[in-house]
Amino acid sequence: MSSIINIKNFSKSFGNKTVIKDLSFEVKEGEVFAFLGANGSGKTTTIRALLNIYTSDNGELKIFGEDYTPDLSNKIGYLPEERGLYLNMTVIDTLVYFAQLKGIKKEDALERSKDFLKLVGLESKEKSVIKSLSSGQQQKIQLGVSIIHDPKLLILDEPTKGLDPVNRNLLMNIIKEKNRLGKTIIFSTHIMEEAEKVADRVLILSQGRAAEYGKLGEIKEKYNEGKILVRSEQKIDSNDVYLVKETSSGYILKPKKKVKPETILKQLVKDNIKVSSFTPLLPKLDDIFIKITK
Amino acid sequence: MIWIIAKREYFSVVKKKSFWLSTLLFPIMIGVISFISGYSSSQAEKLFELKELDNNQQILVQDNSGILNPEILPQGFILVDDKENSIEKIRNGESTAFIYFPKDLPESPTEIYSEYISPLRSDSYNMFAENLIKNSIISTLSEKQVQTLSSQMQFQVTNFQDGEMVDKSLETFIIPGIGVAIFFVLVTFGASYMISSVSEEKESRMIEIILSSLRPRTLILGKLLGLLGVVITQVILLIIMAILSLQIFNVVLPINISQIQIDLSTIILTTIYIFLAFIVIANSMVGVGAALPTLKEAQGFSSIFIMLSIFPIYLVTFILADPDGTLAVVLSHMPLSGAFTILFRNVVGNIKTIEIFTTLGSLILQVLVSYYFAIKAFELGALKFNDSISFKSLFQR
Repeated sequence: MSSIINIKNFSKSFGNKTVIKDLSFEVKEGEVFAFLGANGSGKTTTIRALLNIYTSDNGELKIFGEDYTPDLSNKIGYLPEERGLYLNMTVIDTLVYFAQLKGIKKEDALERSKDFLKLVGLESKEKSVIKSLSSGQQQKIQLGVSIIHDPKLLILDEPTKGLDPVNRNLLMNIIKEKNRLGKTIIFSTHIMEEAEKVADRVLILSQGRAAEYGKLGEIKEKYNEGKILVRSEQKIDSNDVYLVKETSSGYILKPKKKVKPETILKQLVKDNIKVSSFTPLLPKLDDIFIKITK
Repeated sequence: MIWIIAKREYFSVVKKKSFWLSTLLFPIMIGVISFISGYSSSQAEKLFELKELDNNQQILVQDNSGILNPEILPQGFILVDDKENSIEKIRNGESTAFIYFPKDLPESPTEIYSEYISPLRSDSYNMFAENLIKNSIISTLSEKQVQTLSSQMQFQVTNFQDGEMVDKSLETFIIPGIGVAIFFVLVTFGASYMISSVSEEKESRMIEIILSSLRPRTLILGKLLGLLGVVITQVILLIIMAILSLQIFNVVLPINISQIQIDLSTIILTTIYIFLAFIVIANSMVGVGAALPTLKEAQGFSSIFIMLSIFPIYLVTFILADPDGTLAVVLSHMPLSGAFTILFRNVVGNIKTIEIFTTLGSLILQVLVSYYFAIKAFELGALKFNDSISFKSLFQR
């Protein structure tokens, strides 16, 4: 897979404050890439620099192999963190206007706009002015503005910000669908659960640097402490091999030193414990994130 | 791309009710204000006019100058010769007023004693005293002399400039005069539209998504074109309304419309000045709108630029009295106020060719400088949603 985004040694400061230091990563064609970090960690700054809205102090930021210029905007759909709409414009005019700005002819723009409104269940709001829509409906239109031209690359900065669970789910489904159709997606978030649901690879920003970067499974494996969730009718106690923590879903066994799950299972058999389920627990991204950013 | 933005800007304004309200109400408001002001001043004049006195009013007049003709005194006026006694009568309220003409008139002042009514009416008897003296003098003249004095004189004026006869009738001022009016509308309305447009995109957080699709200069040029279209529409509507009003109210203008001189070079020059000046003020509004976080703050700050652009209106008497004087020439080259000054001067006189070039040069320089700072402020401030940019940062690379 070729890389769509390539960032090398990017640094950015605002006055005396260094926001990003020597950041390098790439986003490959056709993948969903989660750009993770706490609020103020520099995710938006990186995206803005990538889109040439900010200038970089140092480094190389390439999209489709070149520095970003608005000429590339018809290949890119961008949903910024700070987003809004022309409140007195109608829904259809808004979508058509932005499609036209991306180089789409008016008739085609109109057709695409209607299709999108159908997709998100807002076809009856076509002639409504934006300010008459609910906040969730406005967010759907904002997403529409970003994807109306069917871009190859979607850059979504905190896309679920302000969305209720239903709309968050809808957005996640749209991301999955776009990805299924071969689109590349990079999205930033501080909600790890969202990344876990859809991301192929992640980058965790901490203090302006890439603290972790790679496939989700590999990162989880790296932080795997070998914990096992065991369900049993009998009481399980800690011993030389593992520490036990009783929870509502069962016993969590944490090995005292790095051992394979089979070693723990053998120990349980040795202790005459009848086991109804034995599930290795991979760390959640949330836990990894907290560990990194502590 | 520019046309798509221009079209959106144009229709987003002309579709608003506020656009039509402000356009329609502007001339109505001016008409109402003119009427109220004219009516109130005529009422005030009537109030101060002293024609005939009530039966119970009594005005005492003492003439030591020997000019007053006692025969012209209306009813209620009594000639007296005791100044102190007359003043005492006013003090006691026995008489309404006492006018005392001194011996050495007009070197010494005419003394007037009356009851105090209000600050504006304390001079009510001045005009009357003056008329008493003037009418007394007129009563000594022959009928033909009086007729000549009271009739409006007719004049035929021939002016020369650089040895050539020039026509400076009222009709020659119409086209440049319209230019001044258009400039005024352009600055006041155009500036307001531009600042609202920039601030709206910033306040509604639209700006980032737009900037990811367009270069700032494309956006600004689109806005300029669209809003120029709005103001031109507004000017055309105002002209149509003016023509309709003249027709409906059957107003007779003090000019002969067929005599209006359509001088192409004047029209072209006036258009260029107006266009360049509009670009300067529009650029300034882009900069201010982008640099400050809210429309309210931006509007407050923008008034400085608008005031600078139209402040020559306060010096119009000096400019028109001496259109080639130092004040007028210096103001013509000043940033922002230059265009309005040169348009005023264009109304009353022929601007020297060299000055046309220098003032156009000054305006073109202003366009470039204001455009540079507008782009800079836009790049620095467009994404600053909560605070304004520093003045210093505009000059940093």
